[in-house]
Amino acid sequence: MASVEDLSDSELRKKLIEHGFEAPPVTGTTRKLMEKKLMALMSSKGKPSKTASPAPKVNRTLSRFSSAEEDSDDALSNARRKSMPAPQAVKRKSMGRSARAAEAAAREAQVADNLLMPSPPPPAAAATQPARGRYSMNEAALRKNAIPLSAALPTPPRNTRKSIATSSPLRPSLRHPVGNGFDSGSDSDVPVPSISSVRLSTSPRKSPLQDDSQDDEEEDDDDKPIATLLSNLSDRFLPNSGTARLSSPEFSNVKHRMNIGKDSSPDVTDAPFLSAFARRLSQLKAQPIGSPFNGDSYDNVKESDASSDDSVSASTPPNGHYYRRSLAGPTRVPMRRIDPSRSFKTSEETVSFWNNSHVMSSVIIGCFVLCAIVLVTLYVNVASKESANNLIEESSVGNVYNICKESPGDDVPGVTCVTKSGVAPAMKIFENVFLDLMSQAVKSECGPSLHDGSYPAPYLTERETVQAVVEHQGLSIWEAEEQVANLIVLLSSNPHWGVSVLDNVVRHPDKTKLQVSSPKIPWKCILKNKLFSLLSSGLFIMCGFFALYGVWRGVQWWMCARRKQQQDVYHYVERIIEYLSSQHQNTGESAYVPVIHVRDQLIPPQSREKLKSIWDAAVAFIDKKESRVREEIQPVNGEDYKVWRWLPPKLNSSVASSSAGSPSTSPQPRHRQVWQGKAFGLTDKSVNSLANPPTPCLKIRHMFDPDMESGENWQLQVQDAILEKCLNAKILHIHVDKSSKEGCVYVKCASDDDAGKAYQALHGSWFDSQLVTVKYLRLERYHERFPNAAKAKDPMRPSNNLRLSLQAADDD
Amino acid sequence: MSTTSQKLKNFTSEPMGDKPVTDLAGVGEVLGRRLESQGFDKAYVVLGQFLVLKKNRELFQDWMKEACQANSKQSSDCFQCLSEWCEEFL
Repeated sequence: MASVEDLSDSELRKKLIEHGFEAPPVTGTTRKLMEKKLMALMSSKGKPSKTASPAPKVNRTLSRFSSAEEDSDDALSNARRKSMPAPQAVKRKSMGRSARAAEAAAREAQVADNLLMPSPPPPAAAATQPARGRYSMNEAALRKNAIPLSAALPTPPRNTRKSIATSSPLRPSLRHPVGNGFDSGSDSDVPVPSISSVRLSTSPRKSPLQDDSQDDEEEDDDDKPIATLLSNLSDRFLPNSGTARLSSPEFSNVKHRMNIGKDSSPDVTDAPFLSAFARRLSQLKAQPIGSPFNGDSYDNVKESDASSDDSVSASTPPNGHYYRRSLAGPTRVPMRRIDPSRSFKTSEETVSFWNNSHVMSSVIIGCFVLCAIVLVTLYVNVASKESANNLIEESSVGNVYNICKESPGDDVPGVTCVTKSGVAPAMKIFENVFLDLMSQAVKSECGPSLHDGSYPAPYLTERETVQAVVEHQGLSIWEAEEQVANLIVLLSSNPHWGVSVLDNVVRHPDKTKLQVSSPKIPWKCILKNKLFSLLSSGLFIMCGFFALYGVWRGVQWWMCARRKQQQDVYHYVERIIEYLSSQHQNTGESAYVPVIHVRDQLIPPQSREKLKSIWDAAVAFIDKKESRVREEIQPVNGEDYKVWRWLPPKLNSSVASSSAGSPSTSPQPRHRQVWQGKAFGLTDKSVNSLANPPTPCLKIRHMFDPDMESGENWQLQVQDAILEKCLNAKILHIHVDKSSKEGCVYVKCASDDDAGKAYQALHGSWFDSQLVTVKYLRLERYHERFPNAAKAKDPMRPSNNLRLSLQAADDD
Repeated sequence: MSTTSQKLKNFTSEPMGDKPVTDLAGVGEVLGRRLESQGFDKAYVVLGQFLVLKKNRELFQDWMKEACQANSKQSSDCFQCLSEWCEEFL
């Protein structure tokens, strides 16, 4: 605590930040909050903080972890308020010093009174009532009354004295009065005035507007060994107990100093609580006494004495003008009445146990696991109980023994009833038969399999049962048959024995079957079967999945192939039109070309067969959808051929000529992406071009028109065009920004000089009928946008060596 | 906190100007007097503290409790009020 308070503002803030808390500025108004926060952080991290007293730590952690935060905090603040019996202080103020002393004396006498009573402590309200009544009496008379009373019964006080004396620092001072000729009765008096007047004496000295921090500091100043204070007290107080010297300022000072303990509670007037108080006192000794937030001890004090405190505060009208804190006095009383229902007396133990919330959660998990284990064991036990004997024994009440009647009637022994003498042997063989049936059932489930690989049936026929009985029991076959017959009768009338008889309508040794209704399969076998079924179903699902995947891939491939074929068809249609128009230009108006000749012109012989379907599709397309080509039958060289005649459209002549002007040998449907020369020459003297290229990165605009571009690899064409144009500059990275409206391309060169060369080559060129402009980009910005550009080290090369984009330039 | 009180609405609807501290939601006569006694006489002073505590709900509520023994409802109302005002006008 002390070290936290000693920290400077900046140090405090630094510490908070160290603890991972984003601390606001530490100012006069926030400092206390920050201190609390730091302590809470330190204690929640489990760091042994030597400085912080345990009490606030516990309180903070409780309030931090418990869901009912207000409860504990309220309790804390309640306790703190309660430890300041403001109404009393008010009264004291009005009474003045002598009255103060009188009250102290009255309380002393009160204690003595109580000590005299062997019976349980009287209600505190009643106890305080006479005490108040005595305020008007002469204090000396009071003293005289009190001392003989306490002297009369030495035994109970002695006990209390011992308990107080256990707190070692108190001992000498407490013994002192004894040596002084006072009996031990007055010993127990010593803490009482201090207790009853705990904050009373400090409070009047403060100005009403004094704030908490001052309050706390004041208390800290009082951190002096209790022993000296007590000796001070005994020196001043006890020898002169009968005199008016009690009212001297020193006495109030002493009382004020006794205040350190802060265990202010009239409950100490109850004799049984004295030892408890002594314990608390020793605890307080053990920890730094003056800590302002000793909420822990407040809790104890308050709760143990709600009623008497109530009576005091209720009987004295609270005056809100003297104490800021006492303003809430009236409202606090009802709250306090509720408090005893909460068991705060044990707060010390419970708090220390519950202060780690993970203990709680682990306990919950532990309970859950325990429950699960119990359930499993119960289930296993229930399952394992089901054996043949148990079945019979448990349900012996419901057993039906079809005993044949003496008089011959419908009953036939061994078929519908059992002779009396046949029951016992049948029961004897039952166990064996049951086991056999069980093993048969197990075999049918998990093998071993028969010769043909199938598993045996899960039942035994009557004949097999008889054979098994003969084998195991060593009976003759007739005996066995009889007993088995009897057993079957019994079993069919007692289905709850766990063996069912199948096909028993007409008894036949080969058809009547016995089967265990609920066979006990070993868990290994169950596991194996489950695993097998799981695997098979998994395999099935996988097969289904693969089939679906295959279908999907097939559909995709088919779609792709169709698209490709469509493209090929368009390609050939274009070439046909080109060819026709060029023929038309070469030969004049009346040119027509046989279809087959066109095909032979366009498709090399080796691929004619392969491309037949595409060619047919292209021909069909032209027949149907090409208005500029007319299909005719014309004799060519004495033979009628299907011919195409080119009908040049008047309006579209420019399109026709432009498409005619492009090189027909190119395999690409688009040939427009070529460099078309410079718009203006760039020299070093040019105003707009920088002499020294500042960065290696360029942004090139108007390289393409995103609305016009089609086809799959136009980006590659744009990229190639740039690379081909700037062959002398090392380009590391190119990004064609498809989404840009301006047709932007970003280029990173190996060095600034390379960028300069590229700039020279590209800026102001015509490409694809657009004027290309280039700007420099900052390298960081470039890397920010294209992080993988930073890794590019090797200069890029065009994707082919055709130099397609430069052809137009070359032609020029 | 499901419904916004009239006081909160009034406070967050306009700049705070020289409003007294009692105009803050959650601060009534009693709390207002306590705050005034500590020097927080105007709403903007409390706003200052609110801002110094970096709009941290936990810290602000702790401070309210410390400064005027506000309960959690009151301090939470006050916090809500100030943070909404800040969203609007800051």
